Amino acid sequence: MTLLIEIAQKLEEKYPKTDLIGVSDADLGKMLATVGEHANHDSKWLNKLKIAWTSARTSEDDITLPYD
Amino acid sequence: MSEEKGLYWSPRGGNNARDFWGSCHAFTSKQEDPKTGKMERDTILIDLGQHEQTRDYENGIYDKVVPALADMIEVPGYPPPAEDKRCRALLLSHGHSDHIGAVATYVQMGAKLPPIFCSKMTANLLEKDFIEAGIDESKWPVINEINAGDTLEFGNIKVRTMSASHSVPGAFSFKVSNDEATIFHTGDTKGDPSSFLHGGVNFGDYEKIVSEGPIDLMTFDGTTATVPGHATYEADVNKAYSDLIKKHSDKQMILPMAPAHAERMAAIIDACAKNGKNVILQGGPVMDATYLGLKDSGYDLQKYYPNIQIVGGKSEHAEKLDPKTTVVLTAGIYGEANAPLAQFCRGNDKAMHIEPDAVIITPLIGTRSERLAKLLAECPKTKNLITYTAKDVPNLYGSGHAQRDDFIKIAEKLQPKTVAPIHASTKLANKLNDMASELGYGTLGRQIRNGESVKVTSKGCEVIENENQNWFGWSKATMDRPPEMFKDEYYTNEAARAEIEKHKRAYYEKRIGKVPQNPKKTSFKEMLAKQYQRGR
Ligand SMILES: [Zn+2]
Repeated sequence: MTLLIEIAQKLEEKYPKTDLIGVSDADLGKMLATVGEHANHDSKWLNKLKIAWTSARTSEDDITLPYD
Repeated sequence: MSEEKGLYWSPRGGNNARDFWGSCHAFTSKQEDPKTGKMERDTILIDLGQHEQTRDYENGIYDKVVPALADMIEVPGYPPPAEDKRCRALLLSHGHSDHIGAVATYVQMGAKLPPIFCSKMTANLLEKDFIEAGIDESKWPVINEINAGDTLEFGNIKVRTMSASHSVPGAFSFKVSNDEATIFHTGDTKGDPSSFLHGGVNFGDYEKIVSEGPIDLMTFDGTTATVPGHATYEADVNKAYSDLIKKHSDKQMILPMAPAHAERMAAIIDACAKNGKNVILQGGPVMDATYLGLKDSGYDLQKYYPNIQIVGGKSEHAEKLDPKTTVVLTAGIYGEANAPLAQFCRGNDKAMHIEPDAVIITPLIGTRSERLAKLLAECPKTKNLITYTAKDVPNLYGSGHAQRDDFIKIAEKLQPKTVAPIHASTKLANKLNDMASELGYGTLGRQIRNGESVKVTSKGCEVIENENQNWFGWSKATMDRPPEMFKDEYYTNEAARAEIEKHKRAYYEKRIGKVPQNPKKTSFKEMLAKQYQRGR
């Protein structure tokens, strides 16, 4: 089984400007197909994939977050 | 532990000498079966947090420092716990890493975790940890979603879930009881009934549980408990932002915030919606993940506020919006160097877009705000912008922890016979103990340290000391080996500290060959690469 984070890494390399907040399930499905992931996924799984994608997007703020 | 019947509370992390990281609390019921007269023993855990400053332990050689619980959870490399000592359930109070961050580590150690019980939001944040750690879904532990008002039973232990008000939704306090006693464990909370997303503390519910019987012990969030006044409520924060956004409704607004602060994100987005402002989330991965975690937990902010657009920063959607119609929620509230706001201030115009007449709202005051204030004041493009801080508008700042008036409000409702600090260093614990006894509540007279336990019965509390003040140190690089167990001897022995460090250092030099001076943080890509090398 491919780890979510590995799929997310591929997507980030191919679509670095994707709006993870606003991307629709349908668009995400299309992008998935272009990186070789063809299975049908439900919305819950796709949301997990989006979260994995945020983790793969290590670019701008590697910052510590003190909790309040 | 004595074999007498009672309800035992034992902090295993979070009641540290110098800080309050790594929350973890064990509750053990010992009572007789009325039919057979046999002593029965049941244990549960509330929270399994990570220490947030691993550099403070063992020369910073570990990636993770987490409570050592091999006495109740089966961990490879350690003798399995006796059957009656096994932990039956792990309950999680809320989704911050100092309360859940060790769960993924325990999974990575190959430990046999008990079933987990937490809110949907906490579950989502926990799953984010599993995803980031690269743990295959087939290895994720069982997570049961619970809601405020639920009653759970684990052997003779009964747990009632109570809504708490912290800075992330899905936060709980717990009433833990058996036939001998009742303990109210606040978790991280303030006395705020206006919590933005899920209603906050429900004081009616407090009255209900008190009518069921007295609270023998209240373990209380000691983080800021002796600070005068009450923590700013979310409704007040919402109003403070809303007023300022209204005042400058024709301008772009830049709002730095802590990206993990989900409650605050929702309060601010609500203030934006009230004033018809679109929202750009420019906070990077953590902010995106917080937003998506909220959505997946049933808090779909775009659905709540269809009159505005909520979009990710640097995306094609954001580029299409007129900046003057937008509020930009951005990371870098502490002036963190990598955050887009700090980069912009240092001259990188590509890091983010700030209009020449934008308005900035930074909610901090005091030393924590200095770095960002300096950056903004020294940058030619931001130094003349209208800027509000919590000095100008105090209600912009609100923490998720109880202050003195919150303590009074909560304690008046619950009337605990005894109060004991949690989530508190020795210093903070002493302060809360002093305040509680001034206010007429019983205390245990000192901090209860990790590994000690307190026997609670309807007759009172008895402190039982033991030697079990242990942490596990764990690293990705040595993830195939059992975690190292080490004692936390920092509580009392100042002089021993240097000696401990020297001794440990020699030990590791011999054993591993070298000790990194400043262990480099491994990036995710590097970590994955390492796992592939090992043929994962
Ligand atoms: Zn905490």
